[in-house]
Amino acid sequence: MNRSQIITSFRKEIWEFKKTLFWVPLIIAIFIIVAPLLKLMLMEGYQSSRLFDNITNVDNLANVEGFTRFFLATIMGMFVPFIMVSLIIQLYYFTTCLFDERRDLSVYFWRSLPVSDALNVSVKLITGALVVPAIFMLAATFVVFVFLLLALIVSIVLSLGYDVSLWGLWGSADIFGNLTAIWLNLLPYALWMFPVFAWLMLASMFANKAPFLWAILPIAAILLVESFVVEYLQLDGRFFLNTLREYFAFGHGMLPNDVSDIESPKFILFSVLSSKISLIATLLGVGFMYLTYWLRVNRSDV
Amino acid sequence: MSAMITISGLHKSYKNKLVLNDVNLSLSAGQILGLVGPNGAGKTTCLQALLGLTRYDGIIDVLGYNPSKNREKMLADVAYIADVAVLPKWIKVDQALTYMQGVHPNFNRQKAETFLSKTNIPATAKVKTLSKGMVTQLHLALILAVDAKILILDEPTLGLDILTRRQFYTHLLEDFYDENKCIIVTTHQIEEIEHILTDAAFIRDGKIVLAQSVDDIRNRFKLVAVDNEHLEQAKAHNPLFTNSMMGITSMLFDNADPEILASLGKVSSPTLADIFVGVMTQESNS
Repeated sequence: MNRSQIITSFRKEIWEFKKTLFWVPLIIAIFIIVAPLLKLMLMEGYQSSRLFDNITNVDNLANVEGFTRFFLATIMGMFVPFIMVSLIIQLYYFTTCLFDERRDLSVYFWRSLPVSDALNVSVKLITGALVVPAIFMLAATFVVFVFLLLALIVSIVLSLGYDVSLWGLWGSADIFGNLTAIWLNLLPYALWMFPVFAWLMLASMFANKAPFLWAILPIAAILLVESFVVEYLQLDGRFFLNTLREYFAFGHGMLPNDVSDIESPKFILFSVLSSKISLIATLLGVGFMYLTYWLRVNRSDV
Repeated sequence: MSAMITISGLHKSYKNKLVLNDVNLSLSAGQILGLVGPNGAGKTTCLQALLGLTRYDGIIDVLGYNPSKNREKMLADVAYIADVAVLPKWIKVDQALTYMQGVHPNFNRQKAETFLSKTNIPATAKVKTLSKGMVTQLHLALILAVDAKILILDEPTLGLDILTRRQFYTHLLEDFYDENKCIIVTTHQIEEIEHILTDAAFIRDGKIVLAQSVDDIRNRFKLVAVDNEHLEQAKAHNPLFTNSMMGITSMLFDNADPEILASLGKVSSPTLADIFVGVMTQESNS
């Protein structure tokens, strides 16, 4: 295993999913940029005046802390659609990444080259867990910069034409700090979802047909059996269902009641995501990954 | 000369069905071995075991490596073309070259590009847009550009027209083979490659039934166009195979006395295809 092999293996994954990884974020980015611009262009005169008043309102301009929070919320909001779609693409990627190469028999070609199975499986895991969402986040960051450019133009126009200075707000926006904080969320997010990703890879490697069903059916079967046992024996709780619900619960009751109490709001998501990581779930994910690797080494015959 | 490939006591089962049964083979530099057998005889499984692509019982040594433990290191010096089109459909020709260049320490991109320039395969084309012959040519370009010591070909020309098949073996000899390398090839069209083989191994039901140099095989087996008056006498010498056509009876003999054979009729050297049919027929009758 060397550097060239690692880089080339990542390039191969990108080539294979190039259409999805290029066009989907691009279309979302275009939609997010164009939609509000269209709305602005179609505004009635009184709506434009109200918007202008809001922007140039002295009270609003004086509320620097409020603006900082508003700015953070806005850029986080811009990332949300990208992350949501990225998750769907990730699930698709993990379900197909080891199945497709067996279906089209290309696994014989890949495995006839001096690249280890460990490298192949690791590259696929890292691509799905980090590279795919990173590409979508890159597109989201691009959108943020487009809006910042538009905001800069508005600031210059207001400053020169209406003697309204927004430059103080630019200083307090902490653009790069906020963006960095958002990008940092990628790591705990990947660790939190790692058991799911590993399970999907295992299904992708194990299934000879319909890997998505192989991923879903065992879970559904366990839930069904558990439900039956709980009903039949009249037990108190459903351990498996509750564990899954607790692990994937997000947002509800995780944020403080009053967000203004939070000292460092830009790291709130990071701490929430970090709190979702569980040692047992991670170990389970490691087990799934080892099984995936073992199957790739020993059961790649189609 | 030390062996580049040694296979001893190779066994492999799929769900209680024995597909390889005590396979023993040895191959040195300069040898081109034809592994010949009917469908389902175990040829592909044998090659996959050799490449560490499937689990097996027994001992395999390829250039000093154990394929099941040192597959990646071994594959730096071993090239392989499978019996079906295995290049991924989504990949572009130039991406395949870039990939090979990135992962294979012994890949020469320029050599592959020179080979491809003689074909009508565009660099920007995706594999799924190429014809079957073009895909094989592309795969061959990728493999021949690897400075490998061993080349393993599993039915490489299956489904190709005769021109492409001939071109394939010409390139193989001109662009790959030298006395420091060895090749294992499986094919159904044994008559097309027997002139390039130095050795042949016949496999049936997972067992090697014959493994010798082509010269020894030709000396060992003789085809006799038996005169009608000597038919009964010829049958007494246990021919492997008898074929009567248009009034002429041909019989294939294994290790028979040349003087006796000459007394039975006109003696000639059989083709490997004749011997293969004879050996397989005898095996199925026994």
